[in-house]
Formats: sequence, C-alpha cells, structure tokens
Amino acid sequence: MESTLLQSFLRAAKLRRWLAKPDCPPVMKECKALFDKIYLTKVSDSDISGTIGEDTMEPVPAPVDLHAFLKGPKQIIMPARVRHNGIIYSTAKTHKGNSLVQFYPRGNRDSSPIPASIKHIYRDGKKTYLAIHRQLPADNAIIDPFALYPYFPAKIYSSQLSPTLELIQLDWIFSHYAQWNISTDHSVVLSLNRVCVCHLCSRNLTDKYPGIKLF
Amino acid sequence: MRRIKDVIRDTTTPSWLESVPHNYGDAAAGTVKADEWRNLSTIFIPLALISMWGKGSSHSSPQNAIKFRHILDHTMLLVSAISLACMRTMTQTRASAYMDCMTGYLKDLVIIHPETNYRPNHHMSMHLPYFLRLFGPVRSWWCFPFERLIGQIQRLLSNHKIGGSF
Repeated sequence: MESTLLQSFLRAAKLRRWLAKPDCPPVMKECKALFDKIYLTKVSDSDISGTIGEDTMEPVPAPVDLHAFLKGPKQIIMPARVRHNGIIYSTAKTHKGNSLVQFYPRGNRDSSPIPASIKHIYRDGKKTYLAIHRQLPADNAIIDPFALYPYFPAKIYSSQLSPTLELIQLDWIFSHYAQWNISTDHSVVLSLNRVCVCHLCSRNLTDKYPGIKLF
Repeated sequence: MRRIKDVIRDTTTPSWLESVPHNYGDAAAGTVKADEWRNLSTIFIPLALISMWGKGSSHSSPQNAIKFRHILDHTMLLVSAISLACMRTMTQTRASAYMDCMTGYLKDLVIIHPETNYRPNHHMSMHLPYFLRLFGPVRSWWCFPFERLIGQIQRLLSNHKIGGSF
C-alpha cells in the first residue's frame, strides 16, 4: 500500500518535471496545456486578467495626486495589479486584501516594516512604483493586548489611513498582512510573513514563561 | 464561537491565503482541512480570543477575568508553537523556542483543562525539534503531499475490490 502510494507520487512528480522541461516534445506540451486547464489551482478570472495584458497596456494620463512624484502631468502605465516574486499586489480598488502590504521605509531592512494600503500602481520607464497610504498608528492610550505574544505578530493600529501619499518600490515590501477592525477606531494588523518573525512585536513573553527567547 | 465567525467574515486577507468556511463550526461547513486548521489556529482564533480575553478586556467578575486570561495565555503557547514549527526557514533558536512553547503548553494542559488527558500526539510533538534540527523547515518533509494524493485516490470511483480492474 505505502509503496504504491510512494511510486505513484514519484511518477507524478517525474511527469510534472518532464512536462515542465524544454526537452519535452511539442505534442506533450499541448497535453500540458490541457492538464493545466483541468488540474491547475483555480484562480478567479478577476485575479488573472490584468496581469496578462500588463505589457500591452496603453499609457494613460497620470491622476492628479501622482503629479508631485512625476514632476507634472505625464502619461504612465497604470496596471491594477502587479506580480513580484510570484505574489500579486493590487490596488485597494481592485482587491483590498492584496493591497495591504508591510514595507521597509526607504528599503532599509533594519527598520520595522510599516503597514500600508496600495492606492496606485504605475510604471514609469522600466520601473514599477507603488503609491501607498500608511496605516496610522494607534494613540498611546490604547492597551495593545497583542503585544504580550511575541510569536503572534499582531499589533493595534488606527483604522484610519494617513492622508499623505508615499512612493515605494516593489523590493521594499516585507509581506502582505491581514487586517481586522477590532473596533470602529482601531484595527489589528497581523503580519502574514512565514519566513521571519516581524520586528514590531519584539517584546518579552509574559513573566510566566521567562525562558522563551527571541530571535 | 460567534466572535470567531465574525473575525473570519470581517478580516481582510490577501487572495493567496486559503479562506476558512464562513460558517465554521456548523455541521453544514463540512470538515476543516489541514491548511484551514492552520489558518484558523494561527490567524482567526487568536485574533478572536485575544480581543475577548486579552489585556484590557472586560469580564463579569475578576475571577472570570483571571480564568480566561490563563486559558488565553496557555492557548497562545500552542499558537506560537504552531507558527514557529510552520516557519519557512528554521534555525536552532526557533527550534528551541518551539520546544519552550510546547513544554509550557503541555505542562499546564492538565492543570488548566483537568478533563483532558495526554495523547500520543502530545508525546510526538516533543520529538519535533529534533527533526527540525535534522531536516530543516517542515514544508520540505511534512506528509501533506501524500495526504493530498490519498485524498485524490479516495475520490476515485471504485468497486471496493482490491487488485481488480475497474
């Protein structure tokens, strides 16, 4: 039973590898296209469209709020979403969840990532820029119950976004985050990065478990 | 339970995060799959529990406040252990941090929940740090690819005869 499972698993893996390699005959390539249609994880149409036509998009006049960054009115390409390292980032209008990103200010990886919402994505020349609104910090009076748990990287922020628009680059992004409005004024920001624990919660665990170390 | 459902419904998440059923807990929601369990236990349940029982929350009596706070801190040790174990990069410190969280959790389990008993899985969870040190992040050696294959095989139609052709 186990060997049958292992064998079929290995065969499937080998088949997938063969289909993905360039030495695969064209006939099989056509089969792959069919397989992809049947078995590939279903992504909703709204998520795919846009990324495909990205290269052929026509430049449009830049919206007024971007004029400051572009030094005057200009024609730019404004995709609704952009793929970076296999992850899709969208504008808040297109998909709110995909627009919530934590980024390193000025790309400095020693600083704590800041949560923000993407308003515009635009391409100027070869480079892609994201225009974002930062999520405002919560006022000091509020007790943050999430701060006690260092391995649960959640923090309370204001549910308001900063009115100023900022420009960031794709490389500055730390990860997506989940947001939940805990009250009308405040929301919880939970980092979804599964590679490193977010710096923003580097505080000690409760006194009860003093042995726990941070990294 | 209602709070957990509210959190699942109202949390804004990116599209790559597999969502859990909005009616989680109802019979109609069906069984929760492993990845959904992970998202529930590392995202939605902690958000709901901390907002209800965490520092600064209000309770009917001080005894209740202390009791729920204990349960929350204890549960958060398990949440931390799961998050640490599922990290995509593994270090010596992370493996020992996992061990610390898991030991703390298991030590208090029978005190905070006296009706529970230790299970074989609890024992096995203590072996995990060795494997984390030997083999690295769990993603490269966990059994979910096989589990998925079993799932596919289960869904195949068969005539319940082993060895015969369909």
